[in-house]
Amino acid sequence: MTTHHKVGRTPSSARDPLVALPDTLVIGYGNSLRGDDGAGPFVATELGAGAIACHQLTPELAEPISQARRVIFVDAHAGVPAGQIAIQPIQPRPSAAIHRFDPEALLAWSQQLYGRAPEALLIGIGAESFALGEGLSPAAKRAAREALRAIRK
Amino acid sequence: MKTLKIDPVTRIEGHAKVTIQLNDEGRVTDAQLHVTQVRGFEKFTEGRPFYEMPSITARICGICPVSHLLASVKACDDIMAVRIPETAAMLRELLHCGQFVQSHALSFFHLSAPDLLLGMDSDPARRNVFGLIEQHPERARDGIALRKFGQQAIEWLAGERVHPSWTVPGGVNAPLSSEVRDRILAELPAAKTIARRTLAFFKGIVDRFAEEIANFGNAPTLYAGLVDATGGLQLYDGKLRFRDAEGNIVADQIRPRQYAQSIAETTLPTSYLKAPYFKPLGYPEGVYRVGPLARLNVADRCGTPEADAEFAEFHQRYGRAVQSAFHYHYARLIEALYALERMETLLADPAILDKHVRAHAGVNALEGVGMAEAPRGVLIHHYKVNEKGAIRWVNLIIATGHNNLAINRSIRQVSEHFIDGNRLQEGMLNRVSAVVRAYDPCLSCSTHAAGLPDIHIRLLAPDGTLLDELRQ
Repeated sequence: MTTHHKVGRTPSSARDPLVALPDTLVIGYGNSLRGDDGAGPFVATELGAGAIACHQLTPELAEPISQARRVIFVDAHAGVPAGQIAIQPIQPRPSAAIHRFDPEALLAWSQQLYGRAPEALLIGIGAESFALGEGLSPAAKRAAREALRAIRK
Repeated sequence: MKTLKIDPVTRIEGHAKVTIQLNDEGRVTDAQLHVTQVRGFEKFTEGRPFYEMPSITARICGICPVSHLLASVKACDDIMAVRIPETAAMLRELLHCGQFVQSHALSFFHLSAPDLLLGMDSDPARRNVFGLIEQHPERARDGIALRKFGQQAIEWLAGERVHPSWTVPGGVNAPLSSEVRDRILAELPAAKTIARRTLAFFKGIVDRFAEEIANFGNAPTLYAGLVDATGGLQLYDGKLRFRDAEGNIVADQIRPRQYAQSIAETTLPTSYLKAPYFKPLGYPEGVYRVGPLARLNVADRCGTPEADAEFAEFHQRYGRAVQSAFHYHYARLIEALYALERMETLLADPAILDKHVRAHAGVNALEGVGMAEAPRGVLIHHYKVNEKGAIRWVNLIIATGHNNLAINRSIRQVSEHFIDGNRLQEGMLNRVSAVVRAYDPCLSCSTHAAGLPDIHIRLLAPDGTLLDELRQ
């Protein structure tokens, strides 16, 4: 916590603590009770240590994000062909909404509150079903495996 | 006659709109809060096994699922006719305190601080949490850190931040490890420092809001909250007490099973939110309030050193029964400090690590009532079951529901003072929204409704024609 405050309150020295920061923080988010929406948490859980699996993005994540050298968000995406993944770099983008955080807003919070927003990627996992129920469709699972390979590279 | 509608009301939990009636001179004649959704938990749970109720009803809310869990497991304890192990009660209270901290931090820092720190009349495009971050990053960091502490404590104790399944009928399903105890204890001092710092800061700015304090719902009402046998503040357990606007205790030590002797409910044609009232006084004279302000009005003391000092100062400044709804904010911050102190006390007791944390039993009563304080006020779960334990009937009285009539009165008062129907300005309408926010209503809970938080104010002509509207 001391380090966090130091980073946030002394933006000019924000680079100094980087040596102690995790290399890559993976945040997989989504609702695992809505079929393929659970792809993000599935990926994070598979990665284990160094990854955060969560239901949704919340303000508290801004702090660990600010401490990572790089952050990768993983989320199910209805706009990506089922079974495929789409990787895109993302930038901080302020938003006043607190009920529906997106990765860009979290990066902006990280920048504003803790002095830095790391390099960030969003991996969209092509999903085909968001129906009630646990477990990924074969296509989403295939895409999730692909995402894991991409992250581990 | 004209009608103003605020639809939707923003920075609250759930969907609501406000209607304000104006006369031909543009003066306010009436105002009402409308809660426009219904979710039906009381009906669709019929037929479910009673022991499923905690996990089902926790889904009513993502902010205070722990409160629903606790009221529900207490109702289930009652059906099982068990006295749960002392350590289980301590652990439930500990969990509950974590929730109070995170919920109160959310209400103060994320929802209301933009009004308080950026100004009621500030640019609405910037009067939000990001505007707060830009102008007061230190407060925003405190808000995040305090909420995170509460959420983290819940996760460490119960395994999950939202909808934890650790709390079960008969107790909790696993004892506390010394490692988790030590982890929470290690984080507590920093959280207390934030709570103290925020209280000191708020006390330094509160006098700037003299006009809001004087006009934010200070019409006299009763107050209701849980207290222990000696009148001390209780969040997890305790019995119900009512105090009137003069500070007199009008009902006390009401046990959960007796709630219906004091509380009756009516419905309003304009809202899905039920309207409870104090039965001996009838409707609408029996309007009462719950939540942080009511709890501090009802209790004789908090029971922890720092919160007690703040409690004394609070009542010294504003009297025995503090009337203005604006002071919900102040009371909320005192309670956050109390919850942190209480966590420290509970964790310091060696009994907290005892391994006996659950009682087992089947159906030993066909009815059960669970009562606890949610962050927003008294929460009552009342179930009736058949011999096999299947739910036959459910009544849920939710914190925000208790405040329904009082919120309507407060909206009317704020509207009468601040709104000039001939010259509608955003800052006027924001104060109407702000008084709703002061109560920290959770409409998802109170109607058991899902939705995004919004405010919509509409101004209608006598014939119903829309003259003006404002969305936030």
